[in-house]
Amino acid sequence: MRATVGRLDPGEPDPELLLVGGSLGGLVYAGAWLAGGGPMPVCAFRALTGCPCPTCGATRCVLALLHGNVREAMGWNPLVFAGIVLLILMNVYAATVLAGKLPRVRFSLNEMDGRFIRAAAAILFAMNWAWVIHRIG
Amino acid sequence: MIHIGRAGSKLGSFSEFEVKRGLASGQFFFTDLGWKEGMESWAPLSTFAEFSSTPPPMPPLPGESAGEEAGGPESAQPVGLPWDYRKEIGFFPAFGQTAWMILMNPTGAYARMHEAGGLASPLLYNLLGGWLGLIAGGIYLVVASRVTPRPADLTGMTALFYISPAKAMWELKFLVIMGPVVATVTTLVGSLIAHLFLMLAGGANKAYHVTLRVFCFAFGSAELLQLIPFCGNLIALVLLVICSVVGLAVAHGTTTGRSVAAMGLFMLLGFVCCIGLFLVAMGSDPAMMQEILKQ
Repeated sequence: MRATVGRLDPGEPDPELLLVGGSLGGLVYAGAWLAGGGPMPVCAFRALTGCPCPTCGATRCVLALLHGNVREAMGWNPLVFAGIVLLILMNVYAATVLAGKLPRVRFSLNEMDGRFIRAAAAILFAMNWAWVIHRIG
Repeated sequence: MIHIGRAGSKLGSFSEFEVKRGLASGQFFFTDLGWKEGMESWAPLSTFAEFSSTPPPMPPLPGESAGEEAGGPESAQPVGLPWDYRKEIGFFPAFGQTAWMILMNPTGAYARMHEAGGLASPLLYNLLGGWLGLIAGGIYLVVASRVTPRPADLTGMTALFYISPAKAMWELKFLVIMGPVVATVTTLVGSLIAHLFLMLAGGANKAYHVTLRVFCFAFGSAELLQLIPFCGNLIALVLLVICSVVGLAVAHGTTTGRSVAAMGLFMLLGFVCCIGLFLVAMGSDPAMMQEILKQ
């Protein structure tokens, strides 16, 4: 894996702006849904099969995190928890470089890195699902 | 004026704008030969700087074999979709032609799609098509909810699929007001998840913004099918998946198998949860949710 720092080329799409814009849009979407009386999401996979889906526990994870219960949030769905933390960190980075008009950090992967990440992702996914079934199912 | 020829016969003389529009609509091909005043000989349209989104290929270095850098049909630069020419051909004709092209011939359409440039244009297309489709789907949902009698036993799966008129109306109001946000966020998040799965499948040969473009045009076009009464949402869903699979394969230059694998994972993880959210959101009440959670 190689990290480089540089500025965007003229006309190049701005991933940091997309990230911040998409996250804010998601917050507005979720906020309007709940403020308007929309119900909390329920998993159809679990309703149909009785088995929790890989993302089950995500809503409870977010709610626990909003209440400051980090340990509980991690317990509901560790992979979703890691994803939320990563998303927050990426948003902080993106907002900082956008506000400060700073150079952007980019990572490039070689073939070996790609294979390692694919294998690691598959293992983490399976382990996480097993945990969710144990915890919720 | 530019003279166009194909397979040994002349097609006629056209203005630069007409040729651009013809390339976008399929009337002309990059392999067609063109000639204009000042040129020594006929040349493929792919070599005309005015029809390329990027600068034409550099001439060969002295001593370099001319054949090495010669641009064949495969090296032609994408000319763009009709939506990219909306200032020239009109906003609504460009919108309609793009939707038709994406839905009827996704392979050809995505081969023409620009991969570089700003994202405002595809996101605007996605917003308009998505918003229109979501509102149409919401209206049909209200109608369907009013003509469907309330089941006597509102438990289990019956509760999951039942949509009360009040919930349907709430959903419609939400989509009318929040439709642009819903369409944009859905596409941003959906394309990000699909791109991650395409990376896992080893097919992500281009950056994320290319996947986002594919999804913008797929979602913006397929959602229009929700204008078809009652079964439109199902047709839209099928076409959305087909267009996304084809678009990812063409735009990333990967195999259809990897594209199918990525979208299969996307549907397994994302769609199953999302449809649950929408089904329940449209028809649920707290008592029903408790019932489902007990199962």
